[in-house]
Amino acid sequence: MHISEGVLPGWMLITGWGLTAAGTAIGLKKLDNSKIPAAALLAAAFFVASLIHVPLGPTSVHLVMNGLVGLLTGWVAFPILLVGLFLQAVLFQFGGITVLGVNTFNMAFPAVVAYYICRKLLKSSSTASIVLSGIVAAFIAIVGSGLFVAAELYLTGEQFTKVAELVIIAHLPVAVVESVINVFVLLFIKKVFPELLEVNYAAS
Amino acid sequence: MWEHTLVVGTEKVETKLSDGNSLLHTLDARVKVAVCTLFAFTCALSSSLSFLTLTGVFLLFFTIVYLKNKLKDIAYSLLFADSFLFFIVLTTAITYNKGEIIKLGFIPIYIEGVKYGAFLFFKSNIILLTVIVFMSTSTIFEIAHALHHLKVPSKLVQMLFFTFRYLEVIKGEYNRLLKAATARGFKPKTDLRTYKTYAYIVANLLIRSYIRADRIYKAMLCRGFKGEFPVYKHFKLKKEDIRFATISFTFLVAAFLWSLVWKF
Repeated sequence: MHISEGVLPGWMLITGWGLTAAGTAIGLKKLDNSKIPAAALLAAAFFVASLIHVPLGPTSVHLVMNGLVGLLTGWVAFPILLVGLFLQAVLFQFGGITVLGVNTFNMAFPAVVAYYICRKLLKSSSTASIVLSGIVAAFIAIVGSGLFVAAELYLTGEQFTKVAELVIIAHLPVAVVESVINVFVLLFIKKVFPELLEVNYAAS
Repeated sequence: MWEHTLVVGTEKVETKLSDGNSLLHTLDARVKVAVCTLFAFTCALSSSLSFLTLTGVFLLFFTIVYLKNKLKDIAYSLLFADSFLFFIVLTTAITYNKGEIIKLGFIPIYIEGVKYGAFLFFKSNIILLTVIVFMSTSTIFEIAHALHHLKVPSKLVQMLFFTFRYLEVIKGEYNRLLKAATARGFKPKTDLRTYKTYAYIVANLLIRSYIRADRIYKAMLCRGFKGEFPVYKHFKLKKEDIRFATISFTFLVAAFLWSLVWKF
């Protein structure tokens, strides 16, 4: 979920940019020159994946897939999501420039956490551990970013307490859908093109 | 909103506003990015209604003079692009818990909450308008080039460039995958089969983009790529650019001082 322009207080916008800058710096430092096109096309693929609206009962939710970005790329998730969200802000006025730091951090930091927790599971060859890593990554990434959004709204002022609660509730069904999708994506990749799970973005 | 822009397979994924040859389109992208950042951040940090209104008037002047045939698109993306904002404005109106209440059937509406929501909506739209006027009138390639000159790390600029360049290609790939699924009788529903189909489409998208990226990199190496892009079009500051930067900056300072002295 993107936070809109003009809602958060200045100190939070600046902190958000600071954290995103730090995360992006780590990601870029790790990213090998030869893997820039791969990271960029992955960003494009995730941009397109986020256009997919998956039906859920009477409504639909759109895919976020930040957990999967995290699983595949680790710290490089920061520059990937930064570029994706920047394009959404300039092309569609979705999110915005001043909140870009906060929004990127909200999505990328849980993704990096998911990477560190799940990367061992993903290396194993058993189906069960891949299923588990998909579910865990989706929950950490989606619920984690939901919690960040809620905490930021909560800290902004008491008028947003109710909104913050609703935000957390709204993220739960998304996490469930996303974990199902994540599991099938990972199983498919494992079967068809397992190299993708082992790509090292740090060196060629 | 973005769905509209992207779903059309053959149409270019580019801001609708970036084609044109008005003053706003021909200004140096470096100046525009710098002015845009300055305006957006001062507006975001300000909670003064008079300052925001003055800035809004300044931006509206540019919009009406230079983007008058795009007014409908701009209004549409301002009003409807942001569902999160609507969500926030609605919930604050109902749950503000302070001040007077009007009952609308069962639903309590807090006057203070509505006022606060309206202010947020206004502020948010002023910042969005800044980005529309100063940034969406440049192509992404110009912005990437400008960011490079403004000392944004080269790897990040290259990523931005590639991502945008291949957005359309990957979107085309997705359309083909979806068409193939539809041809085999795929109808999205809330069931495991639908989720599985979407998951396989996403997985295919990821695999194909990785393989494509590999080919791209090899092709670049064949053409002597050494870690940076040569640029054919160089920026050169013109008189108009300096005039535009000076006027914008002076206006910002004046509006700031004015709103300190003269609150309304």
